[in-house]
Amino acid sequence: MTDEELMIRVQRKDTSAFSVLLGRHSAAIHAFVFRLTGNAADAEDFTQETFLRVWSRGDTWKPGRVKFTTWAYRIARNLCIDAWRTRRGSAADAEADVEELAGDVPSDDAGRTRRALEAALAALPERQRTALVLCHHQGWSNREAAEMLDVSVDALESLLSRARRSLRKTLAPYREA
Amino acid sequence: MDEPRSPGDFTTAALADLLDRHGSNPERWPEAQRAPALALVQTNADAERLLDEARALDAALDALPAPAMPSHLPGQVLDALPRDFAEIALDWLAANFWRPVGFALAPLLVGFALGNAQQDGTGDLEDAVTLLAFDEVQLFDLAENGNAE
Repeated sequence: MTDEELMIRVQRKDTSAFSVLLGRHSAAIHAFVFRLTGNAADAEDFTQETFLRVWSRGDTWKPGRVKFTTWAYRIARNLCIDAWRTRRGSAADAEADVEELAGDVPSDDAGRTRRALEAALAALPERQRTALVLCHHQGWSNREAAEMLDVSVDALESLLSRARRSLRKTLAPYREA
Repeated sequence: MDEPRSPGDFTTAALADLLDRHGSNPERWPEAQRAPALALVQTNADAERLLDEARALDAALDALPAPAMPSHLPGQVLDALPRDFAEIALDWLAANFWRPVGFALAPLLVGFALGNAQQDGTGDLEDAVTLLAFDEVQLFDLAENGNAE
């Protein structure tokens, strides 16, 4: 059964259809949210909230207009953006996120490269980071990621280009070393 | 700035743009650009360097860890689903309805049980008396008929 067929059942409050969608997409949404927030607790909370909204606001999804995944990823991304707005100005939070991303990073060259890359990713503008996570980590095509971000494919590729150039610049000294 | 040109008219600038937009994996490149881009990499050192840098970035991104989703999360989501009023009401009734109904029905049930038990005893006695009387009549009839014969 396709996501869209399941979602039509979810609109009729079918918990078994909801359970199938949850099993199919929760791990990917969780990874997506973690890559955006860099925070394991947020990843868990926002994944749960995403699916609770899928359940409670299912009637706002219109079959044939957007794919279920596009809609669900938009919900997850909006939750992340809301959290960033709420916490904006809290440098301590941002630093804590980067610290959590870093985790137990070895202090060798690879560890330093990883730490620098994580910091550079966290510093990217939200749309660039989301574009990169969707395409590189989540494996969505540029067209699908553009739909999720609600931008044209050209605009999406422009975001990807800027993100990759910025990250390559960050990595350059480590490559030379 | 003049870009070195490949035989297929695919420049290193075009390759850099391709790598920025699609990453280092040729499978993600638009099909029309894949062959000329790979041909350029084979013949042009700058193009090869660009692809190496793109591959290094992709490898570094791949190496970033992400925790697996906690196994309890799907169950937690299902438990947290808001339910409609009818469902909540049915659950409440199932959990609590027996109390007032039980208290209300208890005297009735006790009365019914006692009454039934008493009635059963009386019925048995009445049946026994009836049968006994019938037996006596039968014996009497038999004696009379026997005498007559």
